[in-house]
Parts: sequence; C-alpha cells; structure tokens
Amino acid sequence: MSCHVIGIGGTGNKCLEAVLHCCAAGLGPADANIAIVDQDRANGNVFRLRRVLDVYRRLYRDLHSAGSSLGDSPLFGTQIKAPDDPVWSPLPDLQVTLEAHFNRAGLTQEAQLLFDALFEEERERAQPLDEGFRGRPVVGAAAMYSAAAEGEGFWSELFQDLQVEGDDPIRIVVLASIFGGTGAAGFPSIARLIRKHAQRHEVPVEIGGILLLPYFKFPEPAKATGEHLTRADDFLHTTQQALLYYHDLLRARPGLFNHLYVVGAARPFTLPNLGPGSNRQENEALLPELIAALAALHFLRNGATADASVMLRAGHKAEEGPDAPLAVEWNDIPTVRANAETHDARDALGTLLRFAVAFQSFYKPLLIKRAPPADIARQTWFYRLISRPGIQLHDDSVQGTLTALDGYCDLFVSWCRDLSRTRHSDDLRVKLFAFDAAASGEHHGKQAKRALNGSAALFDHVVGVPHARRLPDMFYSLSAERIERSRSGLGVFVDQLFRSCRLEGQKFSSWRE
Amino acid sequence: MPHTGHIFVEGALEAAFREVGEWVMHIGSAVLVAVISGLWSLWPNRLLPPPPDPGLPGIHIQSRYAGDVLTITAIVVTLALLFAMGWLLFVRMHRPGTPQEARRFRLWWWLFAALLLACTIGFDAWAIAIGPSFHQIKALYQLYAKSQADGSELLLLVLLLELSAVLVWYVISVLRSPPTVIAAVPFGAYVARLRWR
Repeated sequence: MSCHVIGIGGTGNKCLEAVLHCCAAGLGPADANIAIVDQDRANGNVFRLRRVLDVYRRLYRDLHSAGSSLGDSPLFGTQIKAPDDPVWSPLPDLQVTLEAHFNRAGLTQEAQLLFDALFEEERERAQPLDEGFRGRPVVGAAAMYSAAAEGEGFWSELFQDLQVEGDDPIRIVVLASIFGGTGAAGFPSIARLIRKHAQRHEVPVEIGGILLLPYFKFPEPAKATGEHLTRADDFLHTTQQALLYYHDLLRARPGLFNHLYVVGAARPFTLPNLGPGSNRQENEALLPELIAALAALHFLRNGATADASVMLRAGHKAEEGPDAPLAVEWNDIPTVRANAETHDARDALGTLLRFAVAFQSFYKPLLIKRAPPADIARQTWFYRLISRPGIQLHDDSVQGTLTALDGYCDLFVSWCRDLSRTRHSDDLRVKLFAFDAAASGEHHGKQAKRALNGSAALFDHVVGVPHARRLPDMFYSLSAERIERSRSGLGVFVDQLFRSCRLEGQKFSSWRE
Repeated sequence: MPHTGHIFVEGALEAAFREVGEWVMHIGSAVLVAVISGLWSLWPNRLLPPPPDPGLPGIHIQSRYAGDVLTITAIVVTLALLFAMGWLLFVRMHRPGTPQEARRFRLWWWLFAALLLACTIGFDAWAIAIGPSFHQIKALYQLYAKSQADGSELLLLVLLLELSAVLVWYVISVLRSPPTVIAAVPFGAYVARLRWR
C-alpha cells in the first residue's frame, strides 16, 4: 500500500513536522511519500521542516543500511520518501504576480475583463507572491490549480503512483489550515486534482483531509509596515468564507474526501508576531498540529470506513470542579490505532522523548568525538551494544550518524518543549510533557550534580504514567535485556536504548538476572 | 462493578508477597553461592601443618588444633559473607541509572574490600592479643608464632585466612552483582560477557 502525506502552507508544514516526529516514534506506516507545498520557499517553517526531514532521512539511511540495521524496530520505522527538492511552489519565479503568471497583458480583451472580474482587487492581481498568498485563498487556488497541471515536483511521483493499477488503495492525506492563504487554497484544489487523476486511470485511492481551524493568534504589529500582512483578526472571517465554500463543494462532490478530520482550538494559543513570511516566520509547535498528525496517521493506518456517517470525536475532558484549571492531558489526545489497548501515541512519543534525553545527557558524551574511558568501555552495556557488534567509534561514518542522531534529538526535544509551554496566561495549558522537573532536579538525591540530577528527573517524570520505569530500570534493560536478532551495527545500541526507554513494563531489581 | 477496599488490600498483599518472594529467592541464591565458596575456602587446616606443641604427642596435636583452625576460618568466611550481603544490599538500594553513576561503584567495591580486609586482620590481631572465650584460638596463634623464629607460620595462617575471606567476597560479588555494576568488580566485565551476551 502506497501512502502520501501532503502538507500545504505554513500550518500544513508544521503538521508535517509533527507527522515526521510521530513516524520517528514508530506510529507511522512502513513507508510514506512526503510533499511540502508552499509558495514561500524561504519560510522559516519550511526551513525547520526541511531540517527535520533531512536528518530523519539521513538517520533512516544510516540505520537501515548493510553495516547497521534497526531491523523491524519502531524507531525511525517509516521510510520517508521525498523528491530531491521536497518543496513545491506553484509559482516559483521571483517577484511573480498573478497578472504575470496568467500573462494578463497577452490575454484577449474579454479574457482580461473576466480576469479583472475574478480578481477585482488590485493587490490580488499585482502583489508579489514570493512570500505566499498572504491569506488570499482565491489567488492561491487559481495559481495552484494551473501550476499543478504541469506535473512538476512531487506531482510527477504522485501521478506515476496513480497510474499503477492494483487492488490496494493508495492512501493520501492532505493537511492544511482553512484560515491562511496557501493552505485554504490548496486543500480542495489538490484533493480534486488527485481524485480526478485517479478516476481517469481507475486507480483506487482514499483521500483523508485534515483541516485546521484557527488555533493560534498573534498580536497586531506595533506599527503599520505598508505590507499586506495576514492579521489574526481576519482568521475568523476567512474561515467562515472558506467553510461556506467547502460546505457547497462537499455537497456537490460528496466523495472528494473519504475522511475529513477537523481540528481546532476553542481558545487559540498565543504566538509572537514574526512578520510577513520568509525566514522570520518560524513558529513554535502547538498542540493542534500534533492532533492533526495523529489524525493523518490514523487515516493511513485504518483507511476509509464503509460507513460514511461515522463521526470520530476527540476533545478535551474538563477536570472536575468548577474552578479546576483547564489543561489538556494524554487522556484527551486520540490514539492512532483504532483499538489500542494502551495510549499508543503517549507511549511512542514518551519513549522517544526519554530516548532523546538519555542519549543526549548520558550516552552522547561517551560516544561522540572521543574514545570512551576504559572503565566505561568495560561496562556490560558497552560490550554488548558497542564492542561486540564491532562499532568503530573513531570511524567518520559512525560519528556522522551519532551527530545526526544528536541533531534529531535536539529538534525533537525542542518540539516537545514547545508543545507543553504555556506562553500566555489565557492559553489552554498542555500537560503532556513535564519539563519543569529538569529545572528543579526534584525527586533525586541532593548529592548528585545538578545537570545530571535534572536530566535524571526529566527522564523519570517527563511523561506521567502510573507505574513508570525509572532511569535505573532503563540502564538495567540496556545492560541485560535480550538483543533483537535483526539488529546490527549501530542499530543494536540505538534500538536497545530506545526499547529500554519505554514508559511501562517490567521493572528490575538489581539482583534479578 | 466498582472497586472495593478488599481488592486494593489483595493487590497490595500480592505485590508484597511477590516482592518478599523475590528477596527470598535472591538471598537464597546468594547464600548458596556463599556456602559453596565458603566450603571451598576452608583450606587452611589442610595446607597448614598443626603447630608443634611440646606438651602433647603428635597424634593429639592433629586432633586438637585442626578443629580450631577450621573455626577461625569459618569466622572469617562468615565475616566475608556478611560483607558480600552488605554489598548486594547496597547495590540494590542504590541502583545506578547511568554509565557515569555505575563508574562510582568501583570505588565503593574497593571500599567494601578494604573494610573487609581491615576487619579480618583486626580479628586476627584481637585473637592474638586478647583471644576469644571459646576454643584455644589464642593459644593456637601463639603456637604458630613460636613455631619458627621468623614467624612465617603465623604469617601463612593469616594470609590463608585473608585469602579465604577475599575469595568468598569476590565470588559472591562477581556472581551476584547486577549487570549494571558488575564492571566495578575487578575482572567482572569478563564474567558479564559470558552471562549477558
């Protein structure tokens, strides 16, 4: 089964980042094609997503090669495929305007009148589109529909897939916001193009749409810049217009999406105003993006249901008591597997976060850019996971992989930290990852060094579960638990560390063998 | 059906029994290792000839002092067993969570070993100077001291006793230490390679 995930616009890109982190944690399918659609190629969010994508693909390649294999480990378990240039811009030329793209000057007089009637505002016709469609979905839709037909970028790969006959349906997820420019324009346009192409070649395709309603706000800029900026106050109006359009569209074409997931926030999160686009616009990760990513993975795993009336509903369950502060916890977050016995998203992301903390705090200093001290090299874990699999730590390729892993851990930890940060007193509190334990180093002995103490406390308490395994349980597992047969090279250490960081399960006393 | 109080009590009892059961198992296997290594260590009475006692004929010397040598050895081995149990208890109560923490256990192991050595030598010194109220241990030490002019027989006795104590201590700590701290025991890493592959 072929899976495609398409993120459109700034919000779509941020959701794609969340999808990649979930795939790294083992929640994704065996493989997935990723496409980034953004008119503003230099956007900070695109840059951040590309960093995650590049390091993910580097790690997947290194840890699934002949010399080093993760086998069937859930860690980095999804093979992410993307074109060499994963970003597709409908109008890639510099300083391009809608007028220039459609060559208005070369049109017949009647066509010019029609063009002017459709895009009656001067700024829609003549605004440079390098930095996106600035909250003007009508402009984006016209540009996107015309450019997609040329079949460049990820379209060529997708169109090829859509021409291969087979019984297995191709699952495609489209992620976008309804309140911006690029996302709102691309969401129905791209879905319609895909559906039309699949119908033409009679290929079974299932399309899941993940639509994000306004979920953040930002303050107005201090002084007017003269640029046509997106304003948070416009979001509700834009959303209303778009929802009316989507309503008509979906009534006219009821099969456009097999599943439509709608994600929003009753109390939008507060973000700083970072300006009109380009590299200044690198927004922090927010909770709805994680929920959108889980929805995407839910669709890729479970596919379309025969019953079109099924309504999956997830939402915040308020804490008891009228004065209890509102806070989102893991119980409020949907799972990926339809009938998961435990909370698979919590377990997978919690394990990955503990893995990142453990690797960066305790193992990276021993493995990167230096020979380990003799008393470390003698330890059981080192012999089983480093010496015995024949890992040469002075080898440049090994160091490169470890450095890439460190880089990924940096990105993932900061993503988790962003998710759980309260930026404004009005914001809904998100209690998924507890980073405050690291600052105080609570729950640990006073004698321990502060940094180590903080990391140990962070490892133990970053995800609250009733019977959490602690750091000593993890170290015991790392030293003694059975190594999976299909692992080799550096994959042995990486997988064993990941499995040892699981939240719940067997605990070890020091005397158990 | 809602949970009732006795379900929690049953759960707590079950957990307690499981914990106690594990401890009994661990202590039992540690004692087994100790007994085996202890029996193996009761060699001084075989290696050392009985001290010459001018007041007794040879046949009587053998029967009189062999039992006393065995008693001294048993006392020293029991001391080592207590230290070994203390070590296992220590690593149970202070489980290392990281390789950096595990390194510190090397220092702790040597500290335990040094204390054991000090205690056994202290026992010898006490037995020679004051002597216990049972058996003829003080007389035995003195006879060994007098048997040769340079006191080499007494030195050999003390050395063999120390060797027995160290052997018991080492065997238990190397065979019963968890994989996270076994590298702290000298040559423990090689034992670990055989056990946790």
